[in-house]
Parts: sequence; structure tokens; C-alpha cells
Amino acid sequence: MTGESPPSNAHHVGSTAEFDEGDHLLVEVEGIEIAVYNTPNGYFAVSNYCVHQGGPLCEGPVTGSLSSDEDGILCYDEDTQVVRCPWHGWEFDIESGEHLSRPSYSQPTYEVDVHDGELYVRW
Amino acid sequence: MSSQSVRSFHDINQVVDLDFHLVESESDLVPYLESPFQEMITRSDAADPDSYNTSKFFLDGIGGDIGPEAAPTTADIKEVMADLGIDRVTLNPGLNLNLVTVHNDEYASALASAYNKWVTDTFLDPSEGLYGTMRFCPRFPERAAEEIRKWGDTEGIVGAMLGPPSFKDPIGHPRFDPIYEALADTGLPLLMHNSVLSLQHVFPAPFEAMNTFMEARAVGHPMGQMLQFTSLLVNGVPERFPDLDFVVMESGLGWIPFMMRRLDYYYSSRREDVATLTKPPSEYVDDSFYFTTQPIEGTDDPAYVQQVIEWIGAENVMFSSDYPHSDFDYSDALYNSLREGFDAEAIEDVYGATAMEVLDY
Repeated sequence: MTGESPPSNAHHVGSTAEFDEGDHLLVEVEGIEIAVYNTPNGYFAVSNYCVHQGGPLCEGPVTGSLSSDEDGILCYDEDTQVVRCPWHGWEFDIESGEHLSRPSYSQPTYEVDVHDGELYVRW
Repeated sequence: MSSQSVRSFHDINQVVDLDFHLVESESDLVPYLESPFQEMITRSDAADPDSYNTSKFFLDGIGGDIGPEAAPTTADIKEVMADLGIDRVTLNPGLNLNLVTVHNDEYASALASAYNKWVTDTFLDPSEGLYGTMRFCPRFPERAAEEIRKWGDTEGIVGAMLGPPSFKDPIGHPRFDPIYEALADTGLPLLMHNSVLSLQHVFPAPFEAMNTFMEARAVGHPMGQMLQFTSLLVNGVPERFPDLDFVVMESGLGWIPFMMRRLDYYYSSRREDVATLTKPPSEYVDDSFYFTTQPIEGTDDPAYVQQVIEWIGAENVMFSSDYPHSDFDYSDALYNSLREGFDAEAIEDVYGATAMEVLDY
């Protein structure tokens, strides 16, 4: 999207120079705390307010996750980026916002646009 | 404020938390150990104190620090109380809950006494809403009774904490009567709180069969409470000590109406097994037992939570947070399940009014 102008409903939240891959930026947009993650798969934005009991989600670690293959063999998934709430350990896929074990629980996620090194979120 | 006006969590008159955990280390207690234990533990040839043989599981510390930030000082505790809207906290031990894992009867007893001095000296301050429980080690029942009488009238001490008991100690056995007599005399309720860190001492064989931390947590707490609660009932402790109150903690709620009915079912045909009882077990539960709420199961189905609490009796249920452990309940998590099903009086009971009657705040 570099070079295009941001959509009119996009909120400027910072620049890509502010944080490296693996880090996140915590911003507030219209009263909503949003964590913008810089992952190997791109930039993703998730609500910082955990849908479980309101814990500060983005203070938790971002990791891969343990699961099992179709034969029941344990395997480690490095690609799916998971944020784990520091209060109770609820784990969410950063890209989809889905809870890994109970998909009916989902963190709100937001679109992230990058224009000329500047980051915008919108919904 | 009229009790009719509970329209949000913040309208509740008095929020009392039955279970706020300290984060003490064994070293914190060393300055409070009596002779000869302090001399032995600090002697030049002694290793750093590390006497609790707690249970370990794969992934039991996943993420390293799941749980909200610990509150090691009174200033930290007061900040958390303000954040959670709690007026009075009941400070309970962390590591010291696991006295059963200490492989020395004398030293385990000494650690209980040292904890009591440490907690009263360091934290308790009723003017700031900071209350706590005292510890006793049941391995020497007469000494435990003496410890209970020593602290029973101390300002800020609101109950006596029984940690996870050893599998060798069915707590309803009459050899523990000196403990119950001291509690009844001092008016302190008995708080019963298990810990997965003690599991191998409480249930050695089931512990060996447990492969995951999840089953230890999910099963360990209620299994321990079912056994201890049943031991008290079938051995007639509430019959012998009708004024003593028992608080069953941190083990879920759904099993309680189940056990009340199950015990009554067998009482109908096996009364002679428990011939010292003069009424069905569930009636002793109604009269003498209270249950804390965290970790409240089923909050995504408020009708379930409401039904279970109705079956137990809202007046026998007391709010607890378990702060700062990783399955703690934020203070309004329960309220959100109760608000549709209960009137203001019941909500006030659960959040503090009952605690104010049962414990000596």
C-alpha cells in the first residue's frame, strides 16, 4: 500500500521505525487500547482488553504453540503467532483474534495499513 | 445506601475478599523462627532454606508469569484492593500453605508459628482493611491448639488456615478435636485451602497417575475438599462443635449440591455407620459450612452459576479472588453471573455481608 493515501477511516498510530519484528506498539484509538504487533507474517492489531476478564492482553508473551498432528504426535507450530494473556493464560491467534481452544471467544482485531512507513488501524 | 440499590458492582456496600495470597519465601520467615530452628537454619554449614518439597509438573509455569502482578508489600496490596474494588482482604499464605510438604514435624510446626508472627508484624492492619488468617500445623494437635489460642484474639486475625492435610490425616478424626475445641473457644472459623503444590503428599497414588498440571488443578482441589469435608461430616465434628464454622475454599461450586445430596442418600441407608450424627449431613452443611467462589466455573452460562448458588444457598457462599494466582477471579466476574438471578440482599451476602458475620473482621 506504500504510496497510496490512507483510507479516510484510518487512524494514524505510529511508524514502522518505532518497533522491531517481535515487538508491539500499544496505542489508544477512540478510547480503545490496541496492540499493534510486528510479526514475521506482517502487522496485526488486537484489542488489549482481554475478552475473558479484562486483563491487559498485550503485556503477555507472544510465542508459537504446541499442538498435535493428525497422528496425535506432538508438534510445535512456530508460524502461528499467539499472544497469551498474563492474567489467566488465555491464548489468542494474533492474526484472527481467535482463542485457540475455545473459538467462540475472540479478541477484536483491526485492519492495519502501512503507508510510507506509517501505520494506520481501521475498522 | 439501601440494599435495594445494587445496580452495578460498585454499588455493593462491602466487598470482602476471602482469599488474597501473599508471596512469601521461606527466607522471609527465618527471622521469625524460634530457637533452635533459627540457629539451625542460619548456621554456617546450612544451605539456603529450601524445605518445601512441592510438586512439579510439565508446563506448570507456562509463560513463566501467568497471573496478575504479585503484591508483595502492603502498599501493593492496597493498590490492588483499590483496582478491584475490595474493602477488606483476607491475606492467606502462599508457599506456607504447603507445610505438609516439609519433611520434619518440628520444623513444619515452627514454620507455622513463624508465619503467624511474620504476617501480623508485616501486613495486618484492620484500619486499612488488611486482615489475615493464622497457620497451624496439625501434626501435633495439642500444640496446634495452643497456637490457635495464642493468636485467636489478635486484632486482624479472622480465621485459622488449614492447608492441604496429609493423606495420613483424615481431618475429622477425634485426635484433632483439641484443634476444633480451640477454634470453637476462640471463635475463629476453620478455612480449608488445598494446593496442587502439595498434591503428592495429599494423594500420593493419584499424583503418580496424573500426567498433566491441568488434571492436578481440575481434580486435585475438589477431590481434596470432598474428602476433607466428608471426613468432618461423617466423623461428627460439626455435631461435637456446633458453633464452629468451616470455610471450604477454591474448589469450584458444582460438586457441593451433588455431595450434599449424595451424603444424604447414603445417610438414609447407612445411618448406623455415622451414629453420632443427629441429622442428615446436608443440614450440617447448611448450618456450619461456607464456600468461596473462585475459580467460579461456568460463567459463560450464568443460569448454571445461579442455579448452583441457589442450591447451596447464597447465604453460604462467599466471594474470593485468589489474587494473584493464575486462576484468580476479577472481582466483578461473579457479579456479572449473579445480577440477573439474585436480589440485592443475596448479592450483598455473597460479596461481604456473610463474611462479616462468619469471620471476625
